[in-house]
Amino acid sequence: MSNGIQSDSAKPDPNSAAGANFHKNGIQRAKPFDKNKLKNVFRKKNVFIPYLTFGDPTIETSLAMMQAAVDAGADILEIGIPFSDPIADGPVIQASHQRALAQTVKPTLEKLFSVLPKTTFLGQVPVILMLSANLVLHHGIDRFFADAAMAGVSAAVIPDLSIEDAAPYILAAKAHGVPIVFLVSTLCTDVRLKKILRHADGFVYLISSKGLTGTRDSLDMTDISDMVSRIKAIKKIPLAVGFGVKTRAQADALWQVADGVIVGSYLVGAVVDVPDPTATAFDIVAEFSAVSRTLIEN
Amino acid sequence: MKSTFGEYGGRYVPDTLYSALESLEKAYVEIRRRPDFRKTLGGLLKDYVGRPTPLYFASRISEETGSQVFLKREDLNHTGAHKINNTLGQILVAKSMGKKRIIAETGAGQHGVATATACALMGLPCVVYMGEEDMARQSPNVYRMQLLGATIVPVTKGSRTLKDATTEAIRDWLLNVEDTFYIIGSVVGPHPYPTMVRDFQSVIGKETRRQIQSLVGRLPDAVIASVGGGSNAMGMFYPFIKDKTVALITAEAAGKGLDSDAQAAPLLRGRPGVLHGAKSYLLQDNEGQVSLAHSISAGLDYPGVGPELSYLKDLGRLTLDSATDDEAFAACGWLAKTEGIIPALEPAHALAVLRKRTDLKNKIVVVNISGRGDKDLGTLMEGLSHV
Repeated sequence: MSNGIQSDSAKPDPNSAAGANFHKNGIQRAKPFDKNKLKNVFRKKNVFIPYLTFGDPTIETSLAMMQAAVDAGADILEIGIPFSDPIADGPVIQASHQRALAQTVKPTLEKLFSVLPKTTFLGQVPVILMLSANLVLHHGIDRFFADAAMAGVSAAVIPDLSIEDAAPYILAAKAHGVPIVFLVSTLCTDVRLKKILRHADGFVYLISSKGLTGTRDSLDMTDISDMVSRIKAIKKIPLAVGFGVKTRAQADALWQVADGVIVGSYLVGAVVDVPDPTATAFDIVAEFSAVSRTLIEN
Repeated sequence: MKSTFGEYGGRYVPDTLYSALESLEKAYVEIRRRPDFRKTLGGLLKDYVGRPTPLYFASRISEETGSQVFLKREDLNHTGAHKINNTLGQILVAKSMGKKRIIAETGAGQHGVATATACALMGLPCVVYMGEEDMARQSPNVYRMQLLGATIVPVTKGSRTLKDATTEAIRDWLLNVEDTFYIIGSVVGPHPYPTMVRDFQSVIGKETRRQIQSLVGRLPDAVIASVGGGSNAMGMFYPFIKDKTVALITAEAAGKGLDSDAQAAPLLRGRPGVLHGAKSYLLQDNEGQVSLAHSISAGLDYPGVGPELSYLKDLGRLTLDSATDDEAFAACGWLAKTEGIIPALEPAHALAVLRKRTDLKNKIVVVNISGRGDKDLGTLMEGLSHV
């Protein structure tokens, strides 16, 4: 099983972002972030963005799952940093965060920044982080964006950061070249939408249904396509839809109107639902990989 | 309306809730100026709640402490605590917005009871989120809420106390934002809640100001209030903020010791952080995960605190103090035996601070008795059996 981390003896792959930057003293460093990496992905159609929690069920297995997701065809990888009180997330992702935080080796931001540059997938797809505002604040706003840039992170999604409170975050994001991807719901007023889009960078994360991640059975396609038109009328920026996507048919329908589809709870849930309680990390990753493939392969 | 207090407060919420908070702010700003709203709320506070509550000169406690101690008797309110001042205000706002369903979180159960009461009075369905641990230690309030027709949803996640009950209530609101009104019980949460709840609770301080002047002819030297989220404290303090001669003393829950892991004193031991939609002082670990608070008092068992109190702390306007579980427990018995008043465990923290502060000798001091102790009889009896 590949755990997503290149072994120290592995020859650096000159084409991978992680491998491209070998320091003279032999310590592998992340290449300061490639600004066009995210933009380039959205040149293609039907962008698939799986979400996984860092550290669930363990750091090692979660990294292997991320690699499996990329091998299965993910175009962008969204990594969630577990938080004790994630207000925007539904029960599946909350439970995932709780499991991750219960580990003896804590899946902290520091830990992620240290392992991310060693992963294979970082050289294959853009990696974006999703994390609660408190984790950014606690790390230090400027330091967070600086460290994220050094680790090769392409963007940050901070679901509970509203544009009105975001000034110091936007400043740091610009200074270090790691854009903040803002969330927009179908309930957003025109005045506020303009305010958000003025600062929107990378892509816009459209919340497909009101409510929480992963809790809706059906998607309101009319609301979504209306919202996509409203956004596109104001700014030319890629759009990805998330919250509640669980079938290939839904993803197909969303790709008709949006550039990308984010799948979180369904995949995270699939990991937990591995039927055999004695399943090994390898089984979990295999199962996960199979579930990922059903979402993207024809 | 300003959405922050210095760097604190704000609206740290997903976009889904943002427009709901904007509509709430608009409705509140509009309604609070309306004479008919003021008349309705004033009438309810007088005839239904029983306001104004007395400011009682506690002569035996005064003799013992050497201070002139006045007790603001919020325990005499209908439903037994100050929480009803806020729920009646908010439910009138909810009605004016045409909302069909009310949700609330509760710790000690006093806010849940006050919300269930307001809903019964207005004929609106009520759902209350309450942590399992709190349901066990405040069981009389669970029955009270059920009797009032409310649905109680036990919260089994995380701390199984107020913190996770609040998280679950926010989640409910995210799912049902269009027809549901969330009545928050303290001066916490995203703007405009901290301002709105403080406004509705400041009736406590306004009455106290008037009453103390008519009783002793001047303002007090100090007012003491317990602080969990901070609604009884902000309600008492707000009308005194500009009176620099009046010390505003906060009594946080030191639990098993201020420097132990088992405390609930974010003003004394927290760092600025974001929880439940606002920035404030927050108990958190070295990784930025929210710590579990601990207090014998369910109403103070919360890792965050109101943004306005956080701001007043930074301005140096507050005198920060705390009381341990044991001190609060003892102060509860002290007031019962000395004055014949059984306070709740929350204001018992304020009494414990009064009892140990020697700098209050010969001073005029007001202590906010935010609620009565009936709900704590189980905890108190258990404690007595260990003595």
